[in-house]
Amino acid sequence: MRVGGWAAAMLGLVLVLLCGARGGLGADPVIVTTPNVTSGSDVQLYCNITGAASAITGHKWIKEEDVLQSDDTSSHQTVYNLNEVNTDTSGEYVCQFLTNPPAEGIVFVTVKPHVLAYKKSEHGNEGDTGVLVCKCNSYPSVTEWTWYKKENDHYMPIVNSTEGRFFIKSSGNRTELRIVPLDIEKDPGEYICNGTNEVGQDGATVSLRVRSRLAALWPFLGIVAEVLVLVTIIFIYEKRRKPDEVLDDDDGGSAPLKSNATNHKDKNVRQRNAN
Amino acid sequence: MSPPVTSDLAYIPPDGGWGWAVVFGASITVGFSYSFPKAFTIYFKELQAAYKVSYSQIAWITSIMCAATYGGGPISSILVNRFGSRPVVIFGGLLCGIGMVSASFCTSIVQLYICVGLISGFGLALNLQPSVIIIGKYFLKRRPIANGLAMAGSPVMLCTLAPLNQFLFDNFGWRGSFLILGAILLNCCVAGALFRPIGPATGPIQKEANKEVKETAKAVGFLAATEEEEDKERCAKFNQYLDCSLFKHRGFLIYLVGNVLMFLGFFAPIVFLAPYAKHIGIDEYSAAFLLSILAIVDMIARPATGLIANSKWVRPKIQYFFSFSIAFNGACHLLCPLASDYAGLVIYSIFFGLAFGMVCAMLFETLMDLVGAVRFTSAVGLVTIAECCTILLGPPIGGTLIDTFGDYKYMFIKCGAVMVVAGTFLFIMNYYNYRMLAKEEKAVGTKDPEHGRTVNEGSNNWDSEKMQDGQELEPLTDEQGLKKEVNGLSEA
Repeated sequence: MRVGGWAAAMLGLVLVLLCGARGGLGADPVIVTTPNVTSGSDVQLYCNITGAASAITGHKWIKEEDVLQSDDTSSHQTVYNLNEVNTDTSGEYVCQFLTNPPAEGIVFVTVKPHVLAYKKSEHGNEGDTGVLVCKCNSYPSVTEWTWYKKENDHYMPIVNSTEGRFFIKSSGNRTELRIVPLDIEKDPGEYICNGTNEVGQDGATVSLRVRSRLAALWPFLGIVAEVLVLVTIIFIYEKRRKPDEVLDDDDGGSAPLKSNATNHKDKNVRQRNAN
Repeated sequence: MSPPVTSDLAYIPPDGGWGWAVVFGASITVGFSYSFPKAFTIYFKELQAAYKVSYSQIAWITSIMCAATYGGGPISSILVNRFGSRPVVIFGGLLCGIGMVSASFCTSIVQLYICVGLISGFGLALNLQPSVIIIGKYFLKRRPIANGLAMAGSPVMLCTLAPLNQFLFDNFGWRGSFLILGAILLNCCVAGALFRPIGPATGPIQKEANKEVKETAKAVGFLAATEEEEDKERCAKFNQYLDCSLFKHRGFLIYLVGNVLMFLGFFAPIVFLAPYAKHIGIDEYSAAFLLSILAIVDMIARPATGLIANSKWVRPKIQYFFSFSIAFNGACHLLCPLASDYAGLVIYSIFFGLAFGMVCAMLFETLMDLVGAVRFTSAVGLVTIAECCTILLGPPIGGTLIDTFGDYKYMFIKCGAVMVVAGTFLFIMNYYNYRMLAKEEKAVGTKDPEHGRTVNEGSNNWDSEKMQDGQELEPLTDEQGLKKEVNGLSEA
């Protein structure tokens, strides 16, 4: 990037001379920036200003409304260091010279798309809607999304309203494939979403599984059976223990009004032992 | 100065044996009742997408469920008074199961409100109260431990249900999950089967017995069959189902007011802990981990509190211990805004978990302690329906405070202040109550030394006074008076 910076400086110089020759007064400031960056690591982004309208009181680097760097030197050149050019760091970098009025230049860091599947494996219920989503946060945004289904090593393209069941909705950073209704025979498999922008293209794979309607039925029946078995065991155990329990209740001096009414009818059972 | 630790039951509770099986069953039902609404929130996102409604409309499901669980308290009490715990719990388990299974076939959000909210919620109400009631019937000396263990079911179940729900959802989708959850809730029926009835016959049979006794007495001329007597009988009949004379019971009223106040600030901090953590910049997983810490500490704190509350130093003064834990809880919340980083929040979560567990473990134990096991059935129903309002209002008020001021600290201050006030109120009022009880003991003690002695000769781990709450003596003496008449009759 040193070459680029040097070339920019030379260009700047030439422009200054030109402007100076024309008398400079009232001409807009000219900012020269690094040309588009598409790859590399430890990249430096330069902005050089010539013909500033007033004294330079500082600089700022801004990306998407976040101030990345700021200082208050009065240099005609400001530099921003980029560790690596990738999807996350791609975007528009605005260098701002704090003059009165402020002057800006833009450096475009562009990359080819890095497409990610929202979920690598999707499930859907038979008869319900299946939604497969891919996203891409690179700059510049994707201009074209395409979907394919992998069938025996071919890639079948899918377009909106294929078979009346497939619907594609796309935007610059996201695409959605909806399958309504899901068919358990035809629909499971791998789907590929492909995104293209002016730098290049990339794709991601999403695998779709369709659950049968009755998938949840077996665990359900299993648990109900377990509940019935346990309840039966508990009641049988209790019936078997009942003779013992009755003896236990007669223990020392308690006065239970027993559930069998016979005790009362007899009325000669002296249960209360109050002293 | 002692609580009515003597049993107003007409038998000695086993304090062990099959009681532990009952505690196990109770921990399952209590666990489901408390943790099911919380664990259900995992499905919200998917349901929101499926029915295309807003978050607050989905959140109504759990609100309705909680309202049904707490509002169904009195009905639950009436049913238990009539049928005993076991049938009610089994029926409750069936209701829950049916509710969830029908929810898996729902096609609109209103149907979900009914199936999940009302039906399952009411089923959970029918599970919760009888479980707590039957512990009072099986335990006396070890009742705090039993209560602590049963209430410990809630965090354990929460820790199990939350990942289980996620797993079910990933593998079966939300409809399949509801189906399976319905089956899982049927396990409450198993817990109910464990609730073997104990003690004298409840409700109708006892009523019959009393009636027979009275008729014989009237025939022989011992009692005058006046209009007043019949009125009293009708009142007594209704009171057998839902004891409204509790509203004249001093201890009950103190408990009611204190708890209703406390619940205003009880649940809101849990609801807002994770959002607060995210607000101060902690990532989502660490924020969720705070709740896990809370649950784990809670799990240990509940049985531990039960043990402490059972010790001979604390049990006679258990009401003070309860008020202390409420105030401690409040103090934690008041100090929370001082925690500005993750370590601070972890410490807060630990103390909060501890305090939360302490309060929950003793929630029903103290009520049992105040009103006695027999009237507890009705008391718990009346208390839960009163608490219903403040429980439901607590989090939304907290949410409004957060939205208005844009700062979480006011919500914590409000919760903390409310709980400290509630704790102090309970402390002072219980001091007054204990003194009044001591006075009443002395008064009754001089009148008739044999009064109020039910079967306590065996359980004398307690020191000195074995008197019950003064007002409670009345219904019992009537009964005993009648019994004496009968016995006198039979001897003749």
